[in-house]
Amino acid sequence: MRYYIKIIFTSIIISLLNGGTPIEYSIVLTGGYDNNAMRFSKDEFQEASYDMALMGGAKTFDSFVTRFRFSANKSLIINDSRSVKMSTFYATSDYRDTPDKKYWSGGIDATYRWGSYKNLKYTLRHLDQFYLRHYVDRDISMDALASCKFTDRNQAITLTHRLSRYSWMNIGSGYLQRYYSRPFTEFDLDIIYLKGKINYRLKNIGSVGLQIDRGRANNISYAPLLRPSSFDRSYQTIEWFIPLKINKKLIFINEIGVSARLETRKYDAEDPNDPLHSGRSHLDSKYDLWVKKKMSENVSLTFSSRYRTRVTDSEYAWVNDLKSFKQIQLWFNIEWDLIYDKY
Amino acid sequence: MINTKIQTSLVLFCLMLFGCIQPDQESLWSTSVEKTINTSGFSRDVHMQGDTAFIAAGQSGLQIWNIDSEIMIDQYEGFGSADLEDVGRVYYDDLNSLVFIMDQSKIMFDEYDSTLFEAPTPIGDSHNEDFIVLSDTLDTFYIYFVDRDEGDGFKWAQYDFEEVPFIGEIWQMQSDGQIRPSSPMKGLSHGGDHIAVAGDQLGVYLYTISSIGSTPELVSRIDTEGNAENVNIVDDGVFVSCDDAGAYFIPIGSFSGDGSSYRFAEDLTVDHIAVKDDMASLSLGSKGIALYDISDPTKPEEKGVFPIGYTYRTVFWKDRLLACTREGMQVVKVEK
Repeated sequence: MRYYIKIIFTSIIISLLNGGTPIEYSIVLTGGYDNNAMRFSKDEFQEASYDMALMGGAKTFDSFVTRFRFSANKSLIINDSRSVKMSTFYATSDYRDTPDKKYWSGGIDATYRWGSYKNLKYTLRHLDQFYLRHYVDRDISMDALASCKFTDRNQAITLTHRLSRYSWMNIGSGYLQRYYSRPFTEFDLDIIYLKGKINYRLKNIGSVGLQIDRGRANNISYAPLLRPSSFDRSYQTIEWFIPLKINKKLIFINEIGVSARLETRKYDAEDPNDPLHSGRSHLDSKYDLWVKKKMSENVSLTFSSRYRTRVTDSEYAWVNDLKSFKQIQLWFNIEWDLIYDKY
Repeated sequence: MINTKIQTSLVLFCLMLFGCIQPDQESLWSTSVEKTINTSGFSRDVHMQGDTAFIAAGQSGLQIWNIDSEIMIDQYEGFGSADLEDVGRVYYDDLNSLVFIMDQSKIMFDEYDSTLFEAPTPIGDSHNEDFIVLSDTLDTFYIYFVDRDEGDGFKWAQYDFEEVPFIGEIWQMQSDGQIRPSSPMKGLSHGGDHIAVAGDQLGVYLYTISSIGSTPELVSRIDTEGNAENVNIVDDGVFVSCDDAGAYFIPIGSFSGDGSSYRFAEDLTVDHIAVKDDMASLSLGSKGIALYDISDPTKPEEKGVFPIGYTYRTVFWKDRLLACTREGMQVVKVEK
């Protein structure tokens, strides 16, 4: 509840800001489908078929999803070339067939702009109680399952600058706190990352980009005390992101895009007592496709899909089988863009 | 326009203020093994007398150690001309200076002096599971012991140290008794005027004894899930270790009342429970130990499972926990 209060409090502050400019806001309603809501591996599908407890309260592996998102932003003009833009959003997600997977997220951006493609942005994101699935809490039990959820708080500073007439770059750094709810606090992570992105505007086509994120996750709750969970889950990560967006000279639709996001993660653990993490790495690949159609000046429809696959590499074949999975997600959303101008 | 800088600063201040989150805290305890007494054989049981540990060291016989200095004082791998066979239980009667052990063949005792186990006195037979020794008068002790053979069941005897013509002073059995239950009996515990007996598939028996050495009178039996393997009487109840079925706390009053019991650690195989103040230590065999906060014994709260090695039983000693494991006897520090 305290997070709701924080978001609401900050939103009110933003909405009360003076500046003689309107507040732009949008409402997005989304319906979706996730064919593997708990990210089960092939082996786990079989295991869960005779041990339903693995699925928490869910009765199916897949789930329909509904989402609601509200966002608002306001620009504060300092002079002709300089401005400050504040924006915020709040979103809720409800996996209808996965009872534990109901969460909200929110965020605030503050951007100081001093020219075209020249700005400095502070980003704050919050993801609250995101449910993964049920796991055995080995701190206290051999087979008692508990709901595994985490909360993210992500802060980043990004500098954007023009490189040429057709290109610009983003560089920045971030601090992501990923803290698990009891009883899985042994997985708590502080992740420091650097990111860089080059964007190129394709004349009469759209834009393309290349982004690289490099991060170090520190397992802050690891302590070499004698517990079943006393293993170091720290890791190194590097992620490549390549988006291609086409929004010029299209027939019927207004935008079509594809992107690939490839994350390689390598765990530090070399403890033979922790075969699940020892010497493990994985490649997590996400391929997105989206199509956008503006129905009017204020209303647009977007269809998007994601194919995700994670391939795990470990010395232990059973770990490879356990931690690899495939997932398909489909989304359809409708967005209303609105303006409130009391001036 | 005038307020832009002030209010932007205010917003940024709020963002910074709320920027970070704090992790959840778990109320688990932690342990660290401070030292391991290398007993060569499996450490199966320990009895502490001050800093001296009488260790039932399995096939390495009986070992006597000073825990502080980690020096082995004595080791006994045989009695008379025979070998001890996997010593599993040990007890030292300080009043009469007697050492009791139980191996696979029998219970036996002898005076703790330079001739220890040259000619021990045997008790029981090869199917003994557990024993307790009670003594409050010099030159007399009472032993209660149980047997997995249903025909033997629950037995007790009184021994006095007395002069026998032509032989000299020896420990002589004065009287004995027996209860034949309908199930094997596995474990024993004494507290106040009660004796509890683990009755395998039939649960737990509670007896009263009017005085040390008197004949036990059955109060009642309470069934448990799984097989009741061991018992531990505390002030207000009985902790029961159940094979494949966790553990129970059964208030003393339940045996004469409604038979209510409080189960915990359901998914663990519990071999033994040691209790001190608000802490219970459950021995889990290959899984090590599990610690529980028993401030309210009717609602034990799990505080962690700790894989310290194959653990047979634990004993609280001073502010430490002694764990009898296959790796030897470990001195474990518990941090709340």
